[in-house]
Amino acid sequence: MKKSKNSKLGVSRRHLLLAGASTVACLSGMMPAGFSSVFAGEPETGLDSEALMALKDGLTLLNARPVNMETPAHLLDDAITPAHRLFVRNNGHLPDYDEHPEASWTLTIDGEVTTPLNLSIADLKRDFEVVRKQIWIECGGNGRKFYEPGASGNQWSLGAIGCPIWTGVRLKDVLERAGVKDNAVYTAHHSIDTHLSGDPDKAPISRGVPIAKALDENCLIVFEMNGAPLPVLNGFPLRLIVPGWPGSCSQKWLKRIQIRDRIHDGTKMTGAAYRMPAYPVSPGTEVPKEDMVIIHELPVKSLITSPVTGARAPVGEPIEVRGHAWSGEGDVVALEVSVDFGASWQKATLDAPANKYAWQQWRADLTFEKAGYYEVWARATDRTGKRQPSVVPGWNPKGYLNNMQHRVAVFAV
Amino acid sequence: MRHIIIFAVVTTLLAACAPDAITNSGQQAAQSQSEKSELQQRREARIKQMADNWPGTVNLKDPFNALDPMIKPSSVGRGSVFDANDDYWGLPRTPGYEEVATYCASCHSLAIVMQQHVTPERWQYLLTWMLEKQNMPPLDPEEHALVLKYLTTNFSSGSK
Repeated sequence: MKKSKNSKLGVSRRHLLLAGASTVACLSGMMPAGFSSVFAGEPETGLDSEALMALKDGLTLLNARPVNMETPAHLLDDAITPAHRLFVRNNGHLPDYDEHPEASWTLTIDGEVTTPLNLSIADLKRDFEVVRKQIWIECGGNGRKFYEPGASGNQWSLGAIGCPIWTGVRLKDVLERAGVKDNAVYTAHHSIDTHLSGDPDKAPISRGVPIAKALDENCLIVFEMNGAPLPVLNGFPLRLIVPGWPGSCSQKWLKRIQIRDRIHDGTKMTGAAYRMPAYPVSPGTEVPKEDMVIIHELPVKSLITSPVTGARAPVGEPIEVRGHAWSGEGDVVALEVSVDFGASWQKATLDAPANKYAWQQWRADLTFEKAGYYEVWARATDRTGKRQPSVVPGWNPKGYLNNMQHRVAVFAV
Repeated sequence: MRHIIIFAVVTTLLAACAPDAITNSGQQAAQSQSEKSELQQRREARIKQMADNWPGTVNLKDPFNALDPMIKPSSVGRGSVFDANDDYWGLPRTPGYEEVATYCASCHSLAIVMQQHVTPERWQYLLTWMLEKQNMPPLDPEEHALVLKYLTTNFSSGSK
């Protein structure tokens, strides 16, 4: 039955096998011989997905088609996230680089502007001030896994976050060169990844931001990450970085920014995508579309990157607990840790950010006086006074904005 | 020698602080120190065993339910686990699994299906969305009902 249906749909067994998911650790050596070949080749482009995914060392593969991978918390210990530890959240198939090589890549700025622009990457580097900033990027659905009942989409736990150094030009400078008209309301971001069904008329994702946000000097059009070309899975050769807002605003494989006189209505701008209920809802509520509101800033959050959950600590000797903290509302001003389920908290040392929208490092020495099982909890407070909740915050249909405190298990033995 | 004295003092203090020393009768509290330290040793061994039993690494077959203090015990092991080596990727063999394998996996991974624990209403919405907006091949009414029943039975909130 399966065979006849497959042929009816023109779907090959190999194609179906691309449904694969596993961990990357599986790809490198733990698979039976011949298995790994099922990951080879993006259907449209001939790119070697297996090789691209293998570059992401130790990440958990949530979904191979499209590619979605998250980083276990303890592998995010670096202050500056290296390329091989940055999560991947893709909506479609990778672009066809034969058709769109980097050398002839152009970025179009059009719509409600006085002078539409068509810029090569060389033009961007030559005509605008090149800046380097460390900016965190997080998927709006990071933490979705912990909502009950479940929310549809990839079940991100903690690791859809990273903070590399980006090199590029200010979006503001490019928009000002094009001359944004008075009637401009919103940006619309377009790229050339392809829809999973293969339909060339459908975009996997096309989001945008209000003009005021686009003119923030921290929004960048970038061509380098940590001083190297962007990884293919993270948007090579050109992408946006819109700090503090859901990662989906930071369009990858960027080809066009259209200025619109209304709120953009591209793929994943409407319905429940990247939106929250206008009022708090009880878990499992079906919320009408007109009551769903576009997400802007992401909430205050932190991670414990050392020790790894389940680690052992010597009784009576201090161990260092450390991690990162960030907030879409601005700087984090305090980080506290608890080893008694929130009954008491102690202050951690918190570093200033390298620049606005860089995550901040924190550390604390903890001593366990008695042998046994402990949980270390971390709680950040941002400059607006908002703190992370101990439990999963307000349920919402798509499971966004879960900034519950991170907990790791530690055995004092 | 000094170490031994310190050890003895600490052990005595620990024994005095133990809950049984507080709650038990004076007669039991007067039990020999060697028995107390044996109890202490048994406790230490149990704590070590508890630590050894903790699965320090993510179960590769079950990356979505790694045992972790963040995860509710009720959700560990829920639903079925994606298995790339299975002919049907680990789909539970209840009626409808062949249709789901065929129609859902033609565009995307079944891993995304098998991760879900959404409400039945959300599954209904998602199936309609796939058919109307995402170019899913049309289903006849019988297949439609079968696929929906399969998804809500196996991958809904609270399903096992």
